[in-house]
Amino acid sequence: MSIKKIILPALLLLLSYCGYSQDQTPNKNLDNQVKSLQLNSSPAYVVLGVDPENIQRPNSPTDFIASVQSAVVNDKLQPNFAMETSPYYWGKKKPGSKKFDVYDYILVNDYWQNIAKSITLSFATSPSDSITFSKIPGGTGLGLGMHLQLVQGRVSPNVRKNLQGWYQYTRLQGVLESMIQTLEGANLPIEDMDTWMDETLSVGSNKSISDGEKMVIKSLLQQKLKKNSFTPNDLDAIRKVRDDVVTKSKTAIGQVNTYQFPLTREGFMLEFAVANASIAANSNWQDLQSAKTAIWLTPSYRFNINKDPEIIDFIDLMAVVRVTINSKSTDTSNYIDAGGKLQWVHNKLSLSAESIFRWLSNKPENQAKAYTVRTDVTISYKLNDVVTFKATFGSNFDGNSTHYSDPSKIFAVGGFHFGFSNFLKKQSGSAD
Amino acid sequence: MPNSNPVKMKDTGAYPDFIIPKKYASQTIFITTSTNLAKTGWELDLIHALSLAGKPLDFDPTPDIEEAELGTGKKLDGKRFALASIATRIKNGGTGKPPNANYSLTFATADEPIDSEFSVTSDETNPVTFYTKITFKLEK
Repeated sequence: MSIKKIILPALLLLLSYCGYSQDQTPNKNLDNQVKSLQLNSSPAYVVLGVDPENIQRPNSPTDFIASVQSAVVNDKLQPNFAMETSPYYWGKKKPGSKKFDVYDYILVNDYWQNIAKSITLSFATSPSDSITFSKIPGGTGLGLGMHLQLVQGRVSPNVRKNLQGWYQYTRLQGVLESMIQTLEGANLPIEDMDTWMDETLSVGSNKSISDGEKMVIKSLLQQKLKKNSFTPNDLDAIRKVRDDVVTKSKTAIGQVNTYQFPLTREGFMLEFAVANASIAANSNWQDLQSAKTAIWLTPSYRFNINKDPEIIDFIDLMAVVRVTINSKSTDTSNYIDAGGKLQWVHNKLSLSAESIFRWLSNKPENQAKAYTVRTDVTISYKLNDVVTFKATFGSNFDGNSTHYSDPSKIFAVGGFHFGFSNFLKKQSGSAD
Repeated sequence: MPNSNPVKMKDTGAYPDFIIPKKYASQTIFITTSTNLAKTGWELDLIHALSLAGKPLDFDPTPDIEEAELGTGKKLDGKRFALASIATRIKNGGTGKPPNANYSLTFATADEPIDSEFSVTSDETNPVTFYTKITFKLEK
């Protein structure tokens, strides 16, 4: 059986499986807004050399996404296909697409669990470039990659503070509702509040509250009620405390919801990626051979510059350091890349410019310079939740080390990108 | 005669009768809730306080309650049931005010519902609490 017969059905199977199975993941819509673009710079695309943008801010882990884009390969605009998926979420119980574990998203700081969640596999195919892979007969390139986030950024301090407040007040409300139910339901007293609290906090929705948060809730309750035993005669006072807690909860979540994307992560992020490109000469998958492997780090910093919470206004600073090891059939030299990017995101519009220098580890004698450069500018506009228009203009690394004198050829890539994941979520949501 | 919708958005403190048809006297009755938002771009946080005869009941939140066991119709007769479901909407790209939360509750045996599915749609109040407080009565 040929590899093609294995890989393509496997990709399709994965596509359909992941598209429907990962609904429980935290839905970060800001990231989804740019994710259909982000995929174009997934490790698998980058290593194939068909990435419109070379540097991208790390995305939140989670979703499955697939995309078809076009890139200039062999002087022709040709279609490429890419998809990404995060194994952490495979086979997880599906609680529903619209139920969000805020504690897990905002308050859990388990570094290794967050890394595990961020591991994302990346696949891409493209016609192989006859200059970049000049010694391998033309055919189809297969990119396989993986990326993960070593540092993941945080939501803004103000949002975090209000979310934490809201979380504690809603959970406190839950306990107070249980208290009211106990006193109403059996018409019996709560003789020892500590014992009753321990029992109540160990069942139902309270099971998901961490021990630390349970301590905070107990402490808050003791402050507000100021005694340790209660009878049905105390119900009015307890309801009053409950109503006060509800008011505070409303105020805190109201503050959070003044922001358009309160859950987006800001500050410093660091992503690690590795990818391999293999070429099937003449698109014969039995002759698939490894052409290059690259490993890179992408540090980035997001500044939230919005003055009006309802307006999305971010400036992202990004950089990349990448080492590419070429097979002898691809190039006699390996590459070291270093570059930077500036991006402005304003509501549905995004503008960015990037520049990356590439140094050769082994400069051919006929080359004047041991480096080349890639420079491009990208504009994108989100038309709706599913479709985004994107265009990139610039000059790319010019093939391999035998062409380094001429990195000036201008490329222009534009098109519409479809976030299939969002589309599937919408279908799933409407069926609820 | 079917029961009236027991789900309210205010805590009245009253526990009106909820009739369990006598054919369910020896059958185990379960409770299930379902909560959804009317718009995308918002996340839902949902917790519940559930009790029977004043005793908090355990269940595995999904975060909805799915087939939590209450007991047979006979065992439930005369007992007060209380459920407070607190739903919060957190903006994540959505616009405007918090979307309505559609909440429904079903009492059922393993084979069939014992009454209608009871539904309530919230307004923009956020968080919103859905209260169900009833006294089970087994039909004579």
